[in-house]
Amino acid sequence: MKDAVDPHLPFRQLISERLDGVLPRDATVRLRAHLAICPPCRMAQRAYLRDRLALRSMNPLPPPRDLWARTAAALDREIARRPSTSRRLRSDRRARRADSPALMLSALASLVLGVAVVGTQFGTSRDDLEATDDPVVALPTPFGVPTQALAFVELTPAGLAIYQTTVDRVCPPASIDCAEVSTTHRRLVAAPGERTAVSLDLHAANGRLALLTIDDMGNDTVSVVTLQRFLDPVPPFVGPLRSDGPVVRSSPVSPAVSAADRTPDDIDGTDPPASDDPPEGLPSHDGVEPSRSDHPDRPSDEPDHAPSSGASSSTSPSASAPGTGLLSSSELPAVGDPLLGSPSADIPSISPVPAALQAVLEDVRVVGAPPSWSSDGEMLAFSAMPVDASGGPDVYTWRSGDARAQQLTDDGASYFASWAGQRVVVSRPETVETAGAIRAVTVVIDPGTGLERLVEGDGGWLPAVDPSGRFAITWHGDLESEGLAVQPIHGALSMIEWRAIDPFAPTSLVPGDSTAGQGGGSLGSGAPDTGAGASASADVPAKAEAPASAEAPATVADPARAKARREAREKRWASRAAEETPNLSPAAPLDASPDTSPDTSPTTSSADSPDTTGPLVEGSPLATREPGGDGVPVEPRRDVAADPVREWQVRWSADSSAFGYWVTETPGAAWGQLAVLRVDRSSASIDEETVLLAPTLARRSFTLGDDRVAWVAPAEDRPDGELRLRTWGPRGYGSLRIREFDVSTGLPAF
Amino acid sequence: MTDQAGARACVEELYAEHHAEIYTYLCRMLRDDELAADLTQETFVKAFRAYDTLLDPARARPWLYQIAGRTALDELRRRRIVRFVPWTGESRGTDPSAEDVALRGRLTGEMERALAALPERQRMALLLSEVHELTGIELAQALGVSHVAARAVLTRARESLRQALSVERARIAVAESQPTRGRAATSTRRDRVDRP
Repeated sequence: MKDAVDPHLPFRQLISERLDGVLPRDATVRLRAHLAICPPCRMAQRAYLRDRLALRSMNPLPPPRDLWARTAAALDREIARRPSTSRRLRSDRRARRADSPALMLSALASLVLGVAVVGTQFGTSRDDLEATDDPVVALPTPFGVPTQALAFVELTPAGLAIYQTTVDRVCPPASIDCAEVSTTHRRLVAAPGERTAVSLDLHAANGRLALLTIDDMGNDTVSVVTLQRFLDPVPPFVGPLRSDGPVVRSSPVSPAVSAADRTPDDIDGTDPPASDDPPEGLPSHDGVEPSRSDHPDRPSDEPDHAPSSGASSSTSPSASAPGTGLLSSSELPAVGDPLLGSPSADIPSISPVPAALQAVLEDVRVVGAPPSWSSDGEMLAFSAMPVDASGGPDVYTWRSGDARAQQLTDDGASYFASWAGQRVVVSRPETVETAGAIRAVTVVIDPGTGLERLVEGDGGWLPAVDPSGRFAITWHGDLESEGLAVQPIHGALSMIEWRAIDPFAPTSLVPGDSTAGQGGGSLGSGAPDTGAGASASADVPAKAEAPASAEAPATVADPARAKARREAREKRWASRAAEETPNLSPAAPLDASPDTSPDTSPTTSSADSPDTTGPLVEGSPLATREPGGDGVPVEPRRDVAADPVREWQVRWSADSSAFGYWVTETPGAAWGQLAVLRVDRSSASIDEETVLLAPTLARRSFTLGDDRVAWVAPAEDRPDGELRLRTWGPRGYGSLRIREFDVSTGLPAF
Repeated sequence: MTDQAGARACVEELYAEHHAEIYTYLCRMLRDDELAADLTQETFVKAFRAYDTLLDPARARPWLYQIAGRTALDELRRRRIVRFVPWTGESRGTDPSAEDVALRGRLTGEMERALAALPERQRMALLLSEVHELTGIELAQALGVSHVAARAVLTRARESLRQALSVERARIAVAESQPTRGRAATSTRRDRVDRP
């Protein structure tokens, strides 16, 4: 009765249906109009979304181990109780028509026959029952997916434990435990003291890991480790099906915690054992006595000892180049299968190749996007500032063979955003004095030459460029200064057409640069020879005409020129600020774009671009917003004013077909929402119909492959959370629980 | 192979593919894992009995959910089961640690209790749509109603859940104003997990 008079109810219905994606356009318009004036309904909309997230984060519950045995027995009893279905149906029909004793006799004959049949089948069923007592039958059948290496790390007091395995099969939907992967390789390398892993980036082609850690004083350290044999074949799959039916973890304590808890005293927290034989009292992480015969191919000249005590490997960076892995190498025998939670006879073999963690920059505060490898894996980039905030952030790069990271910028206001091929994308905050606001400026720097070019279009803040160089996921909103650093305040993620504003893109690729006029931010005006005067003159003309500064790689361009650039930019921003009203919310949803055919006005396509499927197109959702627009909103339903994205991580799949984003409204939060979306490259839009991973609760760091995503999910029955995998591909969606581990120190990476 | 043997083989396949989700669904419907296990077994026995009525194997999943849902409703109505005790998902007879209870409660207790406060059909609709990700058509089939009716039930369920969660959070806020053993356990656990 109350519902009947509730004027909001029709709109709640629309909100609910919109969640399910079934809302027609006219209803969408009506709903938007109502939401604009109805705070309670806006709150309800947010609540529906939030509740959906909470519901979807609820884990499947493991059935009892004997459920199949019970069900099979019940089925057998059912078969024994009744005759064959067809006979039963026939006899039922006859029975209904049976009035005569003859027909009743016939029915009795049928019953006798039925008993005979059942008797025959009963014997068979017993055999079947015995055969199916093996609960293996009860499990969903995993299906194969392309094999891909997966690594995850844990930082323990004994060092950095790096696990590697391959995943080649997953479970059908709604199951995560039908298949098992074994962490067949576990390496323990020297790590500086007790730290917490914050982010991890693995370049699988060359086996390099970049690790960002933080100590208890809040100091960040960026380290690298090269796993020479990361791509070595490993036993990919152990135990295709659990032999004990649905998983009920045998050990209530995660192996990582066990290992960590057991070893510090033995290892002294500082001096990891270097030989195969563990120290006395330290049989192994799982209590298994290793034997040298387990590792016949271990190099005999391996160092006996790791560097001593507490010494971060960074303290002796010149000892050896990374990759040779001999700074402070050590290994422990591999653990037993952690899923079994106990030592087993099939202890996985260890890699004989030592590896070491090399700190390339320590005691800093890393800001901007997490450290990331270039496309070829030869360079690492990140941005950091002094931990005492005595200076602003600058971008650093590390190359294979370097002992330390090199400073790429020195303006104290550069934030690493991402790699665009082999160039570094950098965001800088600039104060618009006349408007009193902080605006984001994006530049692209070639670390090989020092060549720096301004992005004239709206690159947003910290754009994450896809590997093909065509799109980027960036953040649009308001920045707030915090000392010498800035913090995002109100804003959201959106997808922009990076190629249209990439200042290093060939001039011919830049569409409409002379006509797409919106002040100085016209598309492609970042091209050095077409841009606004000041910036054009300030920027280096072309690759072939590298400036003097280009001869000094990894250094910043001439400060005077930089100042000139800034002044020019400030003028442009000031003129824009007079025309624009700061837009706190992301652009209108996708369906607000004109219904223009996507191929009405193609621009030239990049000859050298790996993506030839869709040049920037007028009428596409992105083209309608460039330049100066906010792009296609990644989360069109997010109420930016109420729930702004304050921190985020974006990762692209290697083929640029999908991206994953992790967002939180609370700075510093460990948990946030993770989702994976597909990009429709033909229409330059986000494919809202194909949600590869719906928003789900996840730990901050995640990793994205071409057809899979791995993240740390909350576990209902485990305090440490658990590693989850979701795949997509021709065979549909699949899921897998890898193993439980301590999420406070564990991170996954493909 | 007899028709019964064929039906049994098909049901075995359905079991292998869907028993875990059916069990989870029944657990959350009934808030009793032992009863859920019993009714999961019964669901597949009923599926075996009614296998001839499954005309389209592609729609076996919502069909199973329909059987499971009706089985659960029948059981609830027959036994008049109303369990207001917080359900932790632990099997009976086990004694979860205080840490486990606290952590589980932090993650799911609020939602579990809010779900329990919903009318049964609304709870079914929410679980099927949001947790088990049935499509609109599948939801209608599983609930045994029209597509329009299923959407209406789902909307009411979302609104009911929102209100139930508000009540639950208010209750928790009051409870947290008084130190309890559970809170202490949670803090301890968090300290351990978040240690550097």
